[in-house]
Amino acid sequence: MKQKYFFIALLLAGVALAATRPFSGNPNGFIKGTPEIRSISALSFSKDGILFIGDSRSASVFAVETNDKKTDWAEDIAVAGIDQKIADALGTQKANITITDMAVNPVSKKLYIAVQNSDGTPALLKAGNKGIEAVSLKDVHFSSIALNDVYAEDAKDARGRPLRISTISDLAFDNGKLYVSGLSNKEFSSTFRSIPFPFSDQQDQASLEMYHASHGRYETTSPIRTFAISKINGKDYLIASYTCTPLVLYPLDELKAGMHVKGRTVAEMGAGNTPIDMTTITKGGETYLIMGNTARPVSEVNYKSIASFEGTLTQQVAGKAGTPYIEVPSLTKVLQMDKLDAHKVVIMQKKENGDIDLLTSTNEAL
Amino acid sequence: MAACEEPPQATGLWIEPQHTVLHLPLFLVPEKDPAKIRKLFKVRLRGSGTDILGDLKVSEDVSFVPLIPFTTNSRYECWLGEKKIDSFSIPYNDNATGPKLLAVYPMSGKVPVNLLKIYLAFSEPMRENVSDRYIKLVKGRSDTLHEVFLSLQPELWNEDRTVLTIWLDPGRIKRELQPNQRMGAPLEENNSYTLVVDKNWTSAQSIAIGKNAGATWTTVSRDSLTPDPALWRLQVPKPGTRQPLNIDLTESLDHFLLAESIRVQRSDGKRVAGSLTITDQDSRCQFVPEATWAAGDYELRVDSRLEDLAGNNLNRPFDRDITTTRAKTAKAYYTRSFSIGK
Repeated sequence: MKQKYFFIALLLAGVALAATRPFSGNPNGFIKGTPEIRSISALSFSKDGILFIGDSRSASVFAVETNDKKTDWAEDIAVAGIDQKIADALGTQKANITITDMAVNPVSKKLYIAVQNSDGTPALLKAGNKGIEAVSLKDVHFSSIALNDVYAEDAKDARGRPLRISTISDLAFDNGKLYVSGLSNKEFSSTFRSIPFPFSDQQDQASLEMYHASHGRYETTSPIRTFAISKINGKDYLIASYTCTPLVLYPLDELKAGMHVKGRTVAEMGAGNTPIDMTTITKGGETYLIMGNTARPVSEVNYKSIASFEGTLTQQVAGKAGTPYIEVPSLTKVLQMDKLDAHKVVIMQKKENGDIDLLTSTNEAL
Repeated sequence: MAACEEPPQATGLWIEPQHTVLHLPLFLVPEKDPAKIRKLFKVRLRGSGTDILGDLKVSEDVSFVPLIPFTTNSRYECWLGEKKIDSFSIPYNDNATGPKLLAVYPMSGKVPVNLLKIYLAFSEPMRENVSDRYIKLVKGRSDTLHEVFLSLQPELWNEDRTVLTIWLDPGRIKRELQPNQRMGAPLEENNSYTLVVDKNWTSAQSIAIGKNAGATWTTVSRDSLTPDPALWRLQVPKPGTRQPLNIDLTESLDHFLLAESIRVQRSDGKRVAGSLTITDQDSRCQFVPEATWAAGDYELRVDSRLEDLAGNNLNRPFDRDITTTRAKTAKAYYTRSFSIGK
């Protein structure tokens, strides 16, 4: 009997191996199988529709092929009480779920929403006017990369897991690189990584110490809460919002591991407020950074004024000054935002009564 | 109504432990064609018209894996098309004990006025993303403070969901940032502050703590200095013994970072196996080697990311006055040499 069981076990192992075998014609180095995703903290898409999932619990990022159909035009999304609808579809109460991120697949214009149950179980959904559906992560083409802790490679617990696990606070893909910002549950510092994609064994990821000095006097570091990568005057910049509120600009090419990198604080976004999501839109031929805020309406900064803001580390950014920005008064308590297509933005907003709605705005109306 | 968590040989509907899978024997399904069952079988919350998302398999029985586990204290119904064919509820586990708040860090009664981090350690995994409802900071006896904590979603839990990290709003602590100028620092010097953890906070298994818990601190002067291993006081053991190496850190440091930041090594970098114990409200450590100490030169190797209670680490203070202090060159580790039997 034992031998027979052993044979069955081998057969099963063979099936498991076959299920994760690389396949041909595969420029992204994907394998076919079921990624072991333990949490979904952040979502982002590449231009060609590869979904990046930031999994804080396993300190990894997964890249997943979505196979969504291409569409050029997006229907306006308007769903009242999306939190209740998600709770119904998951068979629970809305107090039990947290929406951790949302992102639009630029290929299909489909809205993906990541949810976490109060027991920690993650769920990935697609939501639209017609309802909510599960995104299956079984037998998909995917790859993954572990966010190695370059500082403390030998700091592992008794089970061999790394001791420091960062919460992935934001993800963005730009020009062949995946950028990941992290918050640690232990140390108060900024980790920001740039990882080439397709993922390879030869990782070029770097953990960076980045500083900003808002008022010419005190230089600080702080974890990044959300960020955008953008071109200003032909040069690539990281625009980062920190847990301590300043909006800081770094030239991407200066972000190198082991360097004391200083950014330029371009604005403070108000006391008691933190930008929680940001995206870049174009209207009237100009490019704008729009930000959802915890305690203020959506604010909007023209990239031209970021570029021309000459306030440096030695000048005080007074009040809400620094780079000028405007607010969209109707859009308070915006929790999530993303570009729906070239002309529209989909917004997740908390209403006065506590309900969470999905709505669509044209770029011009912002 | 079917019971929950019955053994597999049960003759009715049953739910696997952890509420992750529903099983319904085929003889209870008034349809024999598996294809039709796959099309028509749905699970819903009682009173809801929405089908619950999940994976359905029809083989020896009908098994349904919901996208998230069924929720405690909820009632569900199984439908075949328009016909309700069964129902079940997920009761509270009466045998489960409630969660307890085991510790609040910092453990020292006195904290710097620019205290940055608080850790709450619970006896079991807690319900996440609700801490803002259940944690408050009270100044003196009854003055509840507002907007002192940084609101983070998702929250910063450890992997087991038993330790939560809370930050006092860094924008208010950092000198001259706008939140600091408008609202002031979260804490004031020479005051008493009590962190209250509300009795209604529940574990992931939906059981409440049951009574309010927390910790009280008195604030002392600002700490703007980086911790410096060169200033630690060492009590060095004798060779040929397994006496502890006693390290007086001269101040309370971050509890969780401390546990993983210090290692003892020979002067050639070879690690000395042993165990580190943290005592005296995280202001002292004791290292006991596995083997007896040999005479020779040793080092403490300290990870630069070790922080004090105000978020100053070995490389940099929390906020550095660039008009008066120069930035240090960042290092991964700092070492402190000592000799045994010399």
